[in-house]
Amino acid sequence: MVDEPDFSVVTAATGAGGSPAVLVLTGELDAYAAERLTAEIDRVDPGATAIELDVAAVSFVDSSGLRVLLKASDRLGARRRTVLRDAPAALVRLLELTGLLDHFEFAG
Amino acid sequence: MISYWLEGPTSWSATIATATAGWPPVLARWSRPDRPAERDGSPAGSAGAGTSMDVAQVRGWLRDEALTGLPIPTSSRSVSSMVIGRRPMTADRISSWMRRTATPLGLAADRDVLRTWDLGETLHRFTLPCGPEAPRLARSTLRAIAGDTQPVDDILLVVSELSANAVQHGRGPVELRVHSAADTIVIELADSDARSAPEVRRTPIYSVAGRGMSIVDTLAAHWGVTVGMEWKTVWCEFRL
Repeated sequence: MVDEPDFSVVTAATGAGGSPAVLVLTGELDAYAAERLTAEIDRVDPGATAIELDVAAVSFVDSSGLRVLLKASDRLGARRRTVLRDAPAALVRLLELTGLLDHFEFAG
Repeated sequence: MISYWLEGPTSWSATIATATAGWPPVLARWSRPDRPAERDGSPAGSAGAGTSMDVAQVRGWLRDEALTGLPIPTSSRSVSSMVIGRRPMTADRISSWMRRTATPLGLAADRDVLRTWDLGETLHRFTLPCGPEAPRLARSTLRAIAGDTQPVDDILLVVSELSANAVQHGRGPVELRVHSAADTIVIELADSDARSAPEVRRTPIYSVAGRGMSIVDTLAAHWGVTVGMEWKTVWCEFRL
């Protein structure tokens, strides 16, 4: 069985120079993807004004993925909310289910 | 050694019963709402009176409490392991509970007392790799089995949580078993760690850990843990 990961993350903007960091996520955000997303978030410029995650193409999220989304804000020090752009219905439902809807801002 | 976790749907009681001393420990004992629940972390062998039953008592319990009047066919499987339940037991919960218990010492011979039923189910078994790729493989397996059958999204989410738990907190090899029948699907994740079992945690508002089993608890019709000497199985059931 070919074990191709079904997740990718691309940093569209690092947040350098006091701008928002933008990461584009594609695929299934689970424990496997969480490791890679964490590594990518760690590269966001600490001076970024916000972290925006474009999740339009995220087809699945479980609690491991949720954990990384929640931790994204920690990168900027303050308790600043992560922006989720174009959140799919399944992700919104999971956030409702876990009572975490208020921890994010939504755009798109 | 036999141990039993018995839950009475009519008396709303639950007790661990052990035939011999040793592991597993007595975890808890529930009783009717008018009696306070007890917790007991002591080993089974040192359990006080009232926390264990011998085989005859187990038989009596099954006859009196569990199976009377339930609309299930008759056969002879019974209890050989501990089932930790999280909810009051209903008739259908008992059927799912009985279904995944194995043949114990002595009990199976008594066909008048114990019943099982032919579910006409299909069992699929897969060994999962003990790495972060396990949840994805578990999901693709379930996707192939469940197809578009609702609630497929819930099923995929729950199997992802359970397989992540199994590889992160359990011990390999991890086996995924799927029992699919006409109207139900039962998913089991078995690993070789009998010492820890998942639980639903009340997570603090900013906590980011421990949400997986809350999700399972919310979405699955039933779930539970069966613990043997050197393995445990976390199972959940969905109505299709």
